[in-house]
Amino acid sequence: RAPCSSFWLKAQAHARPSRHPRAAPPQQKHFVKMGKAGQARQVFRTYGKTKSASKVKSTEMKTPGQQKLKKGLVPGSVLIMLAGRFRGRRAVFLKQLASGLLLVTGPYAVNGVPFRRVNQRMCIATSTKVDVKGADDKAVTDAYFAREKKAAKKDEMFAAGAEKKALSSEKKAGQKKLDEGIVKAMKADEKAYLKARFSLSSKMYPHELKF
Amino acid sequence: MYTRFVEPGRLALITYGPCAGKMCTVVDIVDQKRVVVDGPESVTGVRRHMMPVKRLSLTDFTSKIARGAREKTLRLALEKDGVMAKWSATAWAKKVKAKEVRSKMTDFDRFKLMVARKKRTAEIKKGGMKKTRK
Repeated sequence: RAPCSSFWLKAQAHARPSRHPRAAPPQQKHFVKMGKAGQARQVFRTYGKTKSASKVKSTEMKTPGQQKLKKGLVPGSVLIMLAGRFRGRRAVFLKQLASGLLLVTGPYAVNGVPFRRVNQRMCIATSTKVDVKGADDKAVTDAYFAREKKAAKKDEMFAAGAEKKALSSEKKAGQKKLDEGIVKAMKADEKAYLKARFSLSSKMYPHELKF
Repeated sequence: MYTRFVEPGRLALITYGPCAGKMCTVVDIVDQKRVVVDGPESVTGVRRHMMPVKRLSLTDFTSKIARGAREKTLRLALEKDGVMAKWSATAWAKKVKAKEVRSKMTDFDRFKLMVARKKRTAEIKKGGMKKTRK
């Protein structure tokens, strides 16, 4: 019997067999007669049409499917952005876009982070969750972030530097509208939390920290 | 001189192994190096098993049991002497608990703690609060 209740849970966690479709199938033991050393390990070359059973079906390799969300990531989770213009800021996760990137908002009124797409890998998902039921984010998709296509003229490239187009007023209004729903439901300490930046100080070891 | 003996009834903290961090009672002695230890399971979650003494940190508290006492007897003896309550009141136990709480803090908790500490130092600087160590 195990010494205490957590023992078997830990053992199970380590012993789980891999279910990855491309993992090697469990090795079969061949009991070989004497004098034929190496036979068990021979791999017989298949020429042309003989296909071995362990070959992955071509259908499995077609589309990768939507990128999996990190465990515990739920609309309303607070993320810490680790890279890019807003590194170190905390922002609220709204939804996963079709491209697999995460749609995130400050909210803008709270900490100046607008609608932004973030790669899951470039942020830490904290366990803190904010209420985002009051936010209708259907209008924001990957197309929202597409760059405006200018008529390509060769001379324009070398002309005066690129004009920076400010964000359209509709986009600004859309951002404000969506954020209102979230900000209203937010408590004062959550607002202060989102305003604050994240940084590591001495004796804070990320692998030991619980987020 | 020595006061914390390895004896049936001695309360100890497990410092190593799968049950690290849990409290247990020494129930019987196997040899110079090993003892039989029990939570009891209903109280601390440690099942009865054999363990090297090296993994234990003995405390000041004992309960009156005969060697090899069964779980129910152990549990009643612990309740009668109020051992677990006495243990929780010690500074050692409070430090252990504080460490555990600190390791479980989330990012939001750490933020709230930082805000509280800042508030506290501001009050101290104002002279409103005595600088007692809490």
